[in-house]
Amino acid sequence: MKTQRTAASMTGALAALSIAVAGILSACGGDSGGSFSATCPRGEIDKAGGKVQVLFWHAMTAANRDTIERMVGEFNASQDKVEVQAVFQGSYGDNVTKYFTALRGGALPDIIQVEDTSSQRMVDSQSVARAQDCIDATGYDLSDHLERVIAYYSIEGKMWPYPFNVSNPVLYYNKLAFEKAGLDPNQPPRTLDEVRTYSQKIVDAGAANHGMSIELGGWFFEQWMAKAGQTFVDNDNGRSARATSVQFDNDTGRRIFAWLDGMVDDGLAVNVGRNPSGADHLLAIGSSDAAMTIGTSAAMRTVYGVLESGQFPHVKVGVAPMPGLDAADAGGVEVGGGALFIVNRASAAKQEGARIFAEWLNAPEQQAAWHIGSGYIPVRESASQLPDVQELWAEFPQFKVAYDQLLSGETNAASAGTVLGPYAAVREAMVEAMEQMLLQGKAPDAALADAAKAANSAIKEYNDRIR
Amino acid sequence: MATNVPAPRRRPFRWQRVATEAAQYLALTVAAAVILGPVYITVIYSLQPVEKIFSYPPQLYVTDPQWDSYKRAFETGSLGRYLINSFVVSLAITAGQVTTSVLAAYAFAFLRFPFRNLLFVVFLATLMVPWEVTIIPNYQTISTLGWLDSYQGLIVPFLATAFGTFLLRQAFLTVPRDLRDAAAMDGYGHIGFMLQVAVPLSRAAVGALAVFSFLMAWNQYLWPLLITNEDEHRTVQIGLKALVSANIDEFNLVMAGTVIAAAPILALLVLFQKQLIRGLTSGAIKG
Repeated sequence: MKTQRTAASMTGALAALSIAVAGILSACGGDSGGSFSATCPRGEIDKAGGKVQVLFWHAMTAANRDTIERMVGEFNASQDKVEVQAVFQGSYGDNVTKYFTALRGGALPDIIQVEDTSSQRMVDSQSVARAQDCIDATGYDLSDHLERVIAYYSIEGKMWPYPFNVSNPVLYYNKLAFEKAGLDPNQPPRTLDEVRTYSQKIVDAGAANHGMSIELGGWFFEQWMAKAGQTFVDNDNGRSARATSVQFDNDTGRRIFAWLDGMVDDGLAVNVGRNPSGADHLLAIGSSDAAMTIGTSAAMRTVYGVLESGQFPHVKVGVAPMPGLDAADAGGVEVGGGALFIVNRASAAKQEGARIFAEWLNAPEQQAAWHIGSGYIPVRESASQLPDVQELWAEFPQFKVAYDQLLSGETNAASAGTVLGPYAAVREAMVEAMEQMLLQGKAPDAALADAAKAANSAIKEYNDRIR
Repeated sequence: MATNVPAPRRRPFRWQRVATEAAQYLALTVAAAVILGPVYITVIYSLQPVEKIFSYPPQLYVTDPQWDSYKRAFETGSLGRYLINSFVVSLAITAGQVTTSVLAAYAFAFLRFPFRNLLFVVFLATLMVPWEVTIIPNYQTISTLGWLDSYQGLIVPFLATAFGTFLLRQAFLTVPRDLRDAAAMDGYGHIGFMLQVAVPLSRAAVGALAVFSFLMAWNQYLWPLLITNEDEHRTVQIGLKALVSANIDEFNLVMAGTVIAAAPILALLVLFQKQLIRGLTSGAIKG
């Protein structure tokens, strides 16, 4: 844990430094209008004559890495203007750390895959091109893209990165444990109250040690807020203007914290902590420590690969939308995953090449192949209509759950998700509050209030630095 | 035991000793089990098929070792090239640190020059600077020199160490000054005395420093990640990170990769255990 925190704070420090430098550079640039010019490089590859090399940094591991590297090969073979070189840079965190270090005068990529929460930092670094400028200039058609995806990656109404790998949280549950507890395995819980009722029955029937396993993370809390139609930070979740304070210290936030506290205190949920392996909450289902958990839809292939490998005869996995606070809530879940930023320090020809590559990855055929090969959900509707995807969904309807979930509910400021510079620090404040509540017996309301206080000071510190 | 030995007088003493030793061994066994437990589990899991790893209750012994996972870890993680790079970089850093530390420590221990103690304190002060602070300036320097993606970029920033200088200075201070005078009478200059007398007498400390430097260099992650993009120069820890994935479905590969990356370090520790302990405690007890 300690090393993780050190790494996180170091990442923050590096980011701070690079942002400071970026600020100085732009101040010297004498750019009077915006901090960047709204242009889209076009026809530059032809002007440069022949083929352009594009360097692509990504953070996909294991099978997803193989898939993306195979797709890059296909792209290179499909045309003769752009040659993409894919370089794996470790985790999302490593990738961004390396990027912000390289901003100080090192070798930068031309296009980079960045985790959902890093958008504001990328924008603030003033080192990335705005996708919207090219979308407008070339008339690129976004009407087929999912509304929620466009909303997530737009700030002040403008798209910044190109979407690529999209996921969201779903409920994984053990159908056999449900049956043992006398619950209908085809009627998974839809609200947190139902989760509690179900958990009680599961524990009473001895179908599992706990009803649910819970990972401590800010992501689920944010998703519950979004489903309840509540913004997480002010200024429309940071989308109409830079966020200045958090808004989760309210009735909705307190209900979520009280529910978590009650579930763990009453032995209905097992707290697997920060879950650095990313697998403990899922393995709890395999070991019958729990019958339900909430996890990213991106893990679906792994979940099925492991839990239904035949070694767990007492497990049959079901997938359902993430339960929310109230059944009547009109909100929806936010987008998770990663997106592609084009680096504006690259030559015009390289930027153009990077854009062509990003557009290719967004094409229906590629999104379909990516969905099937990785488990991330397609970012556009026409991809979901392709025969390969329809076949997959007919055979494994659970792969459709996350896609449908992203289409359901209203797309508004709350479900568009949060853009925030010091996202990591705010999530850290949230997790620390949860730890204090669940492990040290702090009252939920007090823990939440402290989380808000710590988060607000992190936001203020970041904003002061940017200004 | 012969029957004519007067047993009653010795027995209580012997039993007491056996009991004490038994207790000591028991405590040590428990401690060793706690420390070796994770290592043992890593090795066991690396040899089991994935389904076995996730079976419940876990199986803590191997019936049918799957050596294939090592081969696959080597291939999917391209560990071969990475291991060579790690060896090249770690050996070069070790050689560099030992050389610079011996020279600097000798100067601080045996030479007289103005501001010697002040300079030594300044030297030590650099120990207090967390290396995260220097990473960005270092990166810029290496980048300006055009050393990104090169062995020299991986090696040069780590060629000197205040810790090593401190460790060896303390060791050199225990070398009697009379020896220096005697050596001078025999016609040894500073270099001769250093190589023929001071370093051999302090070989425990020098050995400890060498092992330490190697460990440190071998385990580096952030710096190699920052300055390398090509597989050609990446080190084994980056290959390992590539194996450790968000996907838990290839746990045996991850474990096999971990064993491969840790094996040289473990071998080194076993080989140099005595030296390491003696070297690090040599300054602690006067004598």
